Amino acid sequence: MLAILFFLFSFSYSLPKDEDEEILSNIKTLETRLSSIEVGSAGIPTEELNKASQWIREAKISPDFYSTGFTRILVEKAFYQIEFLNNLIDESMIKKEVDEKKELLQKMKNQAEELKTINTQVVEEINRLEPR
Amino acid sequence: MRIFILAIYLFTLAFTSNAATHQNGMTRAYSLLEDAKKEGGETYAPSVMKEAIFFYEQAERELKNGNNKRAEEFRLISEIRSRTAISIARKKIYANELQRLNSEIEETNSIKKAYEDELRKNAATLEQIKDRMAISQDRMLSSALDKLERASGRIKAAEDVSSEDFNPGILDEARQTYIKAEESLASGEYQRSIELSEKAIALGERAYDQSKTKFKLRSNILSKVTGIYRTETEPIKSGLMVSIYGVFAPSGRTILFDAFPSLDAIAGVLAEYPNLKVGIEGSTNEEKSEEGNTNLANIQAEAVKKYLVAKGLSPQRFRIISAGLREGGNDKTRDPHIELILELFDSDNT
Repeated sequence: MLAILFFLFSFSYSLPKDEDEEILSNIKTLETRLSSIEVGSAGIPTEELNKASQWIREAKISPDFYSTGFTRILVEKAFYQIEFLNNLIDESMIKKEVDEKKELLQKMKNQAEELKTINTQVVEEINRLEPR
Repeated sequence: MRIFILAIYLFTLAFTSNAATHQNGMTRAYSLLEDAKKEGGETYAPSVMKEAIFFYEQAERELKNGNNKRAEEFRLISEIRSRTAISIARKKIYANELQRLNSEIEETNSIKKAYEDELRKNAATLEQIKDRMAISQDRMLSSALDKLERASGRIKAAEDVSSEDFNPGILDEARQTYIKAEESLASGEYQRSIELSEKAIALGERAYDQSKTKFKLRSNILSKVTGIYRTETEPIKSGLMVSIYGVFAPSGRTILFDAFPSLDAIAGVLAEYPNLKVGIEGSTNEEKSEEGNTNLANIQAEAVKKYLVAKGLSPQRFRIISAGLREGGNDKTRDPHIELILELFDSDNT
């Protein structure tokens, strides 16, 4: 009984293999990426940021019960979430750019229209002073 | 036994509740997949969409096998990929719109520039026209002043040849026109001022031309008559008035011998101007009554007429002016005399 228990215990707390080191490294990378996203996170819903943060934490503390790479799935989930956040940032930026361009275009159209009106008035004045 | 049944019942309840929760989640994930497709996920992010579908199918498989925890994770990943696909699709759409907007901005900028160029050109043209007009206005002002001065000169010249007497109507019209020309100049209507000044010049010249002949005629006659003994000569509107004194004795009806030289001299002048009409009026206050004076005056006037006719002058030239009927008659306190009105402005004299 004791032997079985010992065997199980050592199995649970065995030294990390290469695969585990890779997962740890990936988690660290995700944390770094999440930090940089949090710095410029205007336009990203807080809820989505919190999900990424939470899933990274879950991946960090996840014991690989199934030995089928469950932690790897959690890491992948966190990775995809961060990729989603990056896309949200890009989407927000490009939308902002579109809005600014629309505003600029309208302003230019107004200016062109104003120039056209003034030009018409000047031509009318010329014709009035020197009828053809 | 009861406990066992209860345990089975609770287990079943938990299981179905759990199953329902997972089913709801799968429904949500599937719905997101559909949304991603509608938003163009398959067009703009095909690989992401494939992953979303793959993970969804993985979740279904794990659920079937009873691996709820793994199923849950795969479902979540599927949802994340669906939403990522949606985000990428939106980015692509925004990028296309950005491209379109940039193109439209460029086009609008060209149009704006074209309008700016055209406006610049037209503004320059307008400026040139205004400059020309300003110069033109200055020239017109100068011309208007010049014309006004000439009109003033012509009117003055006409006044110098007594147009007041000879052509009062034309002279007056010239003056009125001149005033209007001045007013037009003051109000900035230069063209109108010029036109009116030209009219005033023409009127002034006409008055002058028509007057100078008569003025010269009157001046000539005046110079000839002035100096005749016992006479006073005075220019009047219609011509000249020659007053001859001492022609008759008091209350007399016969011309005195002493008066002959004066009358002969006058006859000589009248002979030089055969077209000159002459009015003769006697002026006396020797009788007691007005009627008596009038009769005597008329008799004396007739006598003078007769004398002058006898000197070879045509009787048709003379008319007797009844004393008291002539307007602006002489002061009755003056000595008796005969007045000869030399009428210069009958139509025959022009």
